[in-house]
Amino acid sequence: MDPFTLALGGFTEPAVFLTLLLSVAVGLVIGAIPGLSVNIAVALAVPLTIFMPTDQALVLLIGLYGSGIFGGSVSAILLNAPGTPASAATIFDGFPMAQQGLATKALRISLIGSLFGATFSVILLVMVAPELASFALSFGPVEIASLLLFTFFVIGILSGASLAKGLLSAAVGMVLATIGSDPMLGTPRFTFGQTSLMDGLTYVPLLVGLFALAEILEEATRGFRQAVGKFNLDGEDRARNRITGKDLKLIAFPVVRASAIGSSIGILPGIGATIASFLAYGDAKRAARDKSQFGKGDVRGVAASESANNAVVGATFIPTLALGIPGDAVTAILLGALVLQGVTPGPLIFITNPQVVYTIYLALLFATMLMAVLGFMAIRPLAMTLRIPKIYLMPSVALICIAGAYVARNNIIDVWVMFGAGIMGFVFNRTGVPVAPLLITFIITRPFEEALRQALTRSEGSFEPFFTNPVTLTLAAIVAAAFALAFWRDLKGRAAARPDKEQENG
Amino acid sequence: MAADRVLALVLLAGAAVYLGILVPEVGRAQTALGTGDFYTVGPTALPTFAGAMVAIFSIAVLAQGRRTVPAASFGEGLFGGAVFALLVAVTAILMPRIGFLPAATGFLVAVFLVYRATRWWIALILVLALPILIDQVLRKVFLIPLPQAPFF
Repeated sequence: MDPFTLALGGFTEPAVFLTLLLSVAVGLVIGAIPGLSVNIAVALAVPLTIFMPTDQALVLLIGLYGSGIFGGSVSAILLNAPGTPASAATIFDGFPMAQQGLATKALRISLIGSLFGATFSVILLVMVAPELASFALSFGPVEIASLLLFTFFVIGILSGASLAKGLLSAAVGMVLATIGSDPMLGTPRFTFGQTSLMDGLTYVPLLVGLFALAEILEEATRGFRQAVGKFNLDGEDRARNRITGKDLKLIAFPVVRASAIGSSIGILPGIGATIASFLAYGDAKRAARDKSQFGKGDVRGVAASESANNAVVGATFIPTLALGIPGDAVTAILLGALVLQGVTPGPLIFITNPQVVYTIYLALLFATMLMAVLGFMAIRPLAMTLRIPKIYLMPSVALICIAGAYVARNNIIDVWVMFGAGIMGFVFNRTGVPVAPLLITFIITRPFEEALRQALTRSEGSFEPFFTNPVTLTLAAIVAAAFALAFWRDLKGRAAARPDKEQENG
Repeated sequence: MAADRVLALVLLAGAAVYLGILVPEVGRAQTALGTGDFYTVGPTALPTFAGAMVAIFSIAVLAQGRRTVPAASFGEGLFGGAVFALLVAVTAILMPRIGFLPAATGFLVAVFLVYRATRWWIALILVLALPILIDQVLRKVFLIPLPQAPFF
């Protein structure tokens, strides 16, 4: 049987289908609740996937990822607080629509935008990833090492508001990845005599701490608010909230443009859905003939933001599958989950595990379709989840974090790793240092070291192959350009901040 | 001093210890093991590179005149966060000693008391049911045993 049929057949198994259904539903709920992001949902699910068959594990994680981002728009529209950072731009027009009694319409527009964006990016993934992978198949250790080092710099440069902080986060991730025995000789590094550290820091507790515990600690600083946001969907006029042909015509062009922007951003490592949605929103506003309604409840604003952030989902899988380089924090988590399943992402996956590739394609597609069905039917019940007070929700999630970290290796040291990562994530969040570069670099450091040392062993210690390789030189030029651009952006930002400061002092 | 600069200083000090003490220690261990002659780049190469990167970018953050302003100032509500972190740490200490169920129950009781949960019946349901639910799902569905209490 061919791999596609095998992958498709997998979805007819009740356990796999139920997992998909459940993960999409849970993703919608978690995405909707402010403070619980997609990252947290996927991070908490990873410990469970260790004990699942590969297709079920992938379906679980992709279902959560695909639906979670749309879920974020629910609280953005109803409460003026995005459920996930990716939905922040949805607030601009979504919340004003809700205030005008058009919350259901805004949620439906958001769903249509999300559906289009997600489908657009899945089609792009199916078209581009195999081509990129077949190009990357010719890569040797020199090119692989260069590509991974390129990723280190690019995610550091592009992921945060500050160039230095992004790169600092990436460098810390690299340091953490050096713990454990070295990949070529097995020499213990920084294990302090602990045998449980010989395999290095396990990535499950690290990511649970960085994303989930750090966010819970942030909520704890606010004393776990017990008040819940107030909204009322019952009093809405049904006729006004119906989506008309005029609405669809109005959003058609912005949605296509936003999907293209989201997909382009998704392919680049480390940028993510938040920036994509802001860029798409700005683009929709710029391209519109009548800009007067933007910010006051324009359907185009909601549609553009939501199409862009969902278009990132499929596109982030392009570098993840074809090159083994995660496109964002969630695909970094997925990449780690694949490794735990014994599958190594990268160009060879298309040859050695084509069934896994098709399972990912189909899971993305089916998750999108299910998200549309569940999202449309369950807008009101979904809105009800926003009434859950944090005081009951967050400690419960913390308990799941503790159990999840422990089960990764049945080792209490992993609970401490999770705890340390949580504190670090909290400190990073509070000081404006992005966390995603740390996790992505942590994951790519080991293959980078292997490739680098293989290349240098082959060249008997000479770096010459790196300076004469066209792939390396091209990547170096891109990094230099990105660095220069980011540095210029930093300088511009500093110059703009100076008069404000002087004004404050004066 | 801004919190991001303090963090950069701490990381810079960490990088100094890492590069000055820990990485050479790895080199010495490699020499003692007698491995590595075949490979031109040893196990200390990447740690040296990574440590240097941390040092360089810590200095860059320190040198930055502009502050990238985070949503909350660093000290805001820090006490509440520290108390919660302490409760997690205590749970992690107790879990292997008294088992997951009592440690988890104690954790939830402490959190609901400290942060003053107003609806006692929801808190009670969670305290009684959630640890058992997590334990049983992991034990029965995924066949993963969490630490058991010695007296159960």
